[in-house]
Amino acid sequence: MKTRKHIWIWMSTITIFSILFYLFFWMVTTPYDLFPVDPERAQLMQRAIINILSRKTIQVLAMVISAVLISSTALVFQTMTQNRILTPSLIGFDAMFITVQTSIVFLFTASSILYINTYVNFFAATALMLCVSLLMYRMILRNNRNNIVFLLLVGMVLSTLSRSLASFLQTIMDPEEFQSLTIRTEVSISNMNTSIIWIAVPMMLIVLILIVKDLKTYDVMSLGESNAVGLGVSYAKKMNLALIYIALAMSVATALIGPLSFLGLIAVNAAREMLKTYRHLPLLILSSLIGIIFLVLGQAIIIETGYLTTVTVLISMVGGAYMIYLILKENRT
Amino acid sequence: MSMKNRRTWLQARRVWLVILFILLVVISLLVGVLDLSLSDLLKGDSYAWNILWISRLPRTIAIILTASSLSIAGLIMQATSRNKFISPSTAGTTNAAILGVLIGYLIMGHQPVIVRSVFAFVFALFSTLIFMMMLKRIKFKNVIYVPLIGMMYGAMISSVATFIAHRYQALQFLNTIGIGGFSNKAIGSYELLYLVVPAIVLAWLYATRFSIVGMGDDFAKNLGVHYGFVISVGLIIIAIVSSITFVMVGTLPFVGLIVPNLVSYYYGDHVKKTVIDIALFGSTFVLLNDIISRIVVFPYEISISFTMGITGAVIFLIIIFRRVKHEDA
Repeated sequence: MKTRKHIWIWMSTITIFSILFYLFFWMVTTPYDLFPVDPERAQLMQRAIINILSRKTIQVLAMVISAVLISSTALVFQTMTQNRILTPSLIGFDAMFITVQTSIVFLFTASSILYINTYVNFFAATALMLCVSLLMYRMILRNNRNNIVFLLLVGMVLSTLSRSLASFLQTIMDPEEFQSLTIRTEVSISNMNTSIIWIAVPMMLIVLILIVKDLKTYDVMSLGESNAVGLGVSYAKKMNLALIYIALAMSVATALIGPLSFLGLIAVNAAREMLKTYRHLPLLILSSLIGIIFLVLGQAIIIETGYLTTVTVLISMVGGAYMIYLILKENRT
Repeated sequence: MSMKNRRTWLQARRVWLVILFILLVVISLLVGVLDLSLSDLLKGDSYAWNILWISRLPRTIAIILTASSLSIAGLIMQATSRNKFISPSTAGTTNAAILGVLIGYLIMGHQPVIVRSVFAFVFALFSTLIFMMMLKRIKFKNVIYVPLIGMMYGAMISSVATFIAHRYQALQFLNTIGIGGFSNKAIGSYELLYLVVPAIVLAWLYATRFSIVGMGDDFAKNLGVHYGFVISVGLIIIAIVSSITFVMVGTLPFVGLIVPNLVSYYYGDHVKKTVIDIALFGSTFVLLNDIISRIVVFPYEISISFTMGITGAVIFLIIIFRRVKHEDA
């Protein structure tokens, strides 16, 4: 019990440290005198500092939102699939996102309200993605006795399909429209789409509340389908709901900072390893913290080292190696 | 259906496949920006024959070689690992080839295609070896995990490639690797593809042994087949085929995956008997896709990877839906 307390204290400290590091470390390394004596310059500097800080705060907020959403949905998804090496990113939400945006531009042109207005665009894209995911869930899970691994495979094939379709549409579309399309589709952690941050925050809160409300049920569901049904959980219904939450969360995260396939995998598995528990609430909190640390601290270090690489690459490398290690450890014949 | 009936039915199917194949070859030769008509060729018009020799024929040969060798490579992978969902594109082989070409470029700068192919070959070989070893060590509850893990493995290799490219300012080069297609194939730019012919012949000679090896180490030993040796031959064939076709043509999604699956659905799992069917079927499929890519936006053409990504994905989805229904029933 005592070591657990240590873990919590340590991890929260590191999380706070990462955020502060991201927000303020540039002040130490900057070559400019941040607090000049000349009052006119001081005023100018002050305005610049506030400017930078507010921009950085929004970036941190976006990363925190995405990390929390990605980690917690990965946890729920692993419970649904009864498998520790899967994440919902494998279904291909990023490909779906790109295809949805491409089709919007292709069908309604880049000057339509569906594309220009950030909020309308966000809701349209999310709604479309949700529809597609629901259709996929319904088709596959209903007909195939909740075979979720099958859903994954179909998802991966569909993501190749939709990526090819998107590339095809992009090839034949008007070059100017293509230019404006890349603003939305080439989202990554160093090129965040922070303009939607004020919808992302409430969306995250809603999804989180919905998930937290069901966490106790997920505890029971992790015992396996027959046990859970025996204990009075309406398994299929809860699973469908959980998958909807996951689709919602993934579309927010993808629109905000782009695809990060391995983040959820690392965060959830590291949390499991540290806590050695099956209860979802502590796992959810700790994996979110680990996700935040990975993203924020990783990005801060990369900025400070002059962009040696990108966080996405780093996470794929570490995550991929870790995943292979896990598979080999768990499935030894 | 009685045995005899079934056999004649299959024979009829084979005949139809051959007819379709020949038809597509003719169409593939005749479709193009420059006008080329059968009557000109029959009249012996030298200009028309020049077009045919210099541009059309190389392209069609390139398609046939690439498609049949890739399909056979998929067949070998599936037969030796006894898993229907594995192929060069779902086992990280292609990603390793990309990494190989990148590293070759960083060490030696721009090089001729043959050197690129060697780098791609070495990396593809090792990566496939590692993946197959990993698969042997793990027991899966569900075969569908194999392509999932293969794609994660591939994603990891790609991220290493991106990391290195980013480090050495070669991202631009990285993005050009594997963009090819058949559109630039003419005399002088496709001949390297003939290197896959020995690989195809070797695959045909070893066909029976591949299916025996698929039964496992002990079983193979009982039948007097050297397990390790046959597996190595298979891996070398896979690596040659995927590296050369990759460097020359780029990625053709799904060929190695769906063609062996479709053929074994109709003709069974007898590898030796199906090698030629697979080559034929694969070529027909890719020829069809190539023709589609050429006429959709005529006189321009779209990349065949897009077309294959769409048609291949649809066919693959149908296969897995059927299979799952079959298993449930």
